[in-house]
Amino acid sequence: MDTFQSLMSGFSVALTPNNLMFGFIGVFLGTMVGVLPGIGPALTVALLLPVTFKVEPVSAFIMFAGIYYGAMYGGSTTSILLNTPGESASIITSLEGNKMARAGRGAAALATAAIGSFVAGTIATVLLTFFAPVAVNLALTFGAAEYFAVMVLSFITVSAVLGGSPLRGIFALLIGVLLGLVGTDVLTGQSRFDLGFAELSDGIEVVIVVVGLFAVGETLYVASRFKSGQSIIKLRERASMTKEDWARSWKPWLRGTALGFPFGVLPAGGAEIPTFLSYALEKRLAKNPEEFGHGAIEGVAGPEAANNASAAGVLVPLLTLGLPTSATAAIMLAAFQSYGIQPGPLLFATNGALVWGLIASLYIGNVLLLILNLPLAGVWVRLLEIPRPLLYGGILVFASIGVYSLNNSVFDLALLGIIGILGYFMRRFDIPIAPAIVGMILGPKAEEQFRRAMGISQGDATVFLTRPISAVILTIAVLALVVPPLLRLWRSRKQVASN
Amino acid sequence: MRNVSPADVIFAVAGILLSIFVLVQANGMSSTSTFAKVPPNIFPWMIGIGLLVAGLLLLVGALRGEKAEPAGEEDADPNAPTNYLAIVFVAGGLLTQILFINLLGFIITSSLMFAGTAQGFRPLPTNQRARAFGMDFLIGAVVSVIAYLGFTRGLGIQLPAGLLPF
Repeated sequence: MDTFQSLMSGFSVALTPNNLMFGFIGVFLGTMVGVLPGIGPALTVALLLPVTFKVEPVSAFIMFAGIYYGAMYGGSTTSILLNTPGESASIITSLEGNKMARAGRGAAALATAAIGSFVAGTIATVLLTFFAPVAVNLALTFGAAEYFAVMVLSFITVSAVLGGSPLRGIFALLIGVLLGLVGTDVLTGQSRFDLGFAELSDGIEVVIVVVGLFAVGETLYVASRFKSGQSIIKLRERASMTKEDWARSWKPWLRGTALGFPFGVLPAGGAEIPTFLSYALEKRLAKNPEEFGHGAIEGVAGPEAANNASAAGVLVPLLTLGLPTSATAAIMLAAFQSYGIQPGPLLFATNGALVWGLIASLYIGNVLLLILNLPLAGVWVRLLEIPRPLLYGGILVFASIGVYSLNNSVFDLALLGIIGILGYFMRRFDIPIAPAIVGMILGPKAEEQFRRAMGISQGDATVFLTRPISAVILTIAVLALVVPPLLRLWRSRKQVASN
Repeated sequence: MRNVSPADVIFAVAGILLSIFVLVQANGMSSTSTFAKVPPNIFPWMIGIGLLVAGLLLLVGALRGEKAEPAGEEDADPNAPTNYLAIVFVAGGLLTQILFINLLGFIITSSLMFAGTAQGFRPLPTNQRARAFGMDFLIGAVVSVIAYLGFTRGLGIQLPAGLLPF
């Protein structure tokens, strides 16, 4: 079946009233948690995991994808009007967006962010539609060694390339893998790190780790350094742009999309890097670069487009290889697994309706999000005014419902508290959270592929280097780890020399 | 020694202690591998060694005066001093939920946790604390009752009723 036909059958799945409703719930919740501080898409999907086992997988994933996309739109609202971005990918947006809002151009900043997200999201979804089958063909040639190699690459990019310090990223990754290994080893029956607790012998639930690190860790940390009475820029109108804003925005949108999508696809580490690159590019190409830093609309339009395009790109490795490169994608992988579905090249053959229904729902989700975000911008903004004592109190109530309802177990609640304390210290000591989540979910998968590859090769570890695709991927992983610090060293030497 | 941050040193040492725990555990695991060529303790060994190296590097960095920069979140000021009282309020709320949820029931412990957490975000003088706690408890009770009924009646999830009859 060709791609276009598959997509059309996907629309017939996504456009059923039931799935449309789940899509709407998803984008609505996504926008809400994107705007609200203290709660993000990864936490939301994790909290909804236990609830959604009662609905069909297609509906659940349509809702999760809506949350994922919606949070991107909502996040830009916060960074424009509050100047304190919750997600690292929104840092750049706040640079120019908040300046625009302070100068009374908040409506235009929100409009270029929303429309740019729509343009980028839609183009990137088209690219995803036609690129995914190609990636599937590549993935079909993968054996266990290649899967292990590509997981190593994902580990390195998530932990070492992103964020400030590769050391701290890798520390986080290792803690995550450690949490993922707790429990009984499936192959040998050996218990690992369960400290004699029967409750741990089946492993730690992903939901507990995600809710602990995000909800409890965040609440403890924010309480410890709470900054009250922030200035929220009032905006009661709908988001809209003038003709001049359109003229200045459309090229940055397209360039941002072109930068963002490949970074998402290539497991090259999330949305941060393309937003930085897009900002730098727009500054260089701008007719009046002196406006940057004082509210240049190009500096909102480009990075926002790059952010959303890379979000769509992240779905390519997730769906075709089962490879998550962000915390939210990692939890979606865990969701697939708990439905007994293994994302990967075969998913397109065995679960065509699910995959194509999900992809089709992304087109619909982008339209819904545009409608939700342009006229209703003023409504979402009010969410920022929720009193923080009540917001964080509520977050903990829902966090404990989500965790308790897993097994009706107080042990799980205690574990939630312990992992929450870990989350507090990770924030306090600048250890990033995302690598820990990816490590926890992907670590056991990596071990499985490692063992499978070693089993096939009769215990010969050189198999990872003698198979060409595996060798190339591992080489890229090593380069991704080694080259950036070397470049930094080289640059600082050059500076010393020129002084 | 210039400006070594004791907190950063302690954190690095904790990382090293964790790595030692992992290595001791890995050492105690069976290394036979009947089915797989890879015994179940290979990954634990790799993680233990990785954590040890990372912990030592963090320690070296901390002793050379590096300081971790606390995360900048939407509502948090990374440069503010740590408010330990606020942590006690939030952690106390959660501990109440853990210890008493089965005895008192979800609604009561959740309302207490809600009110406790809220105190963590209210910089108030001590004499106004009781009143604020009471108000927050009432709001928390409304939230908890709605959540309880919604999840148990609407979604068929079980939550402990405890002392309350529903």
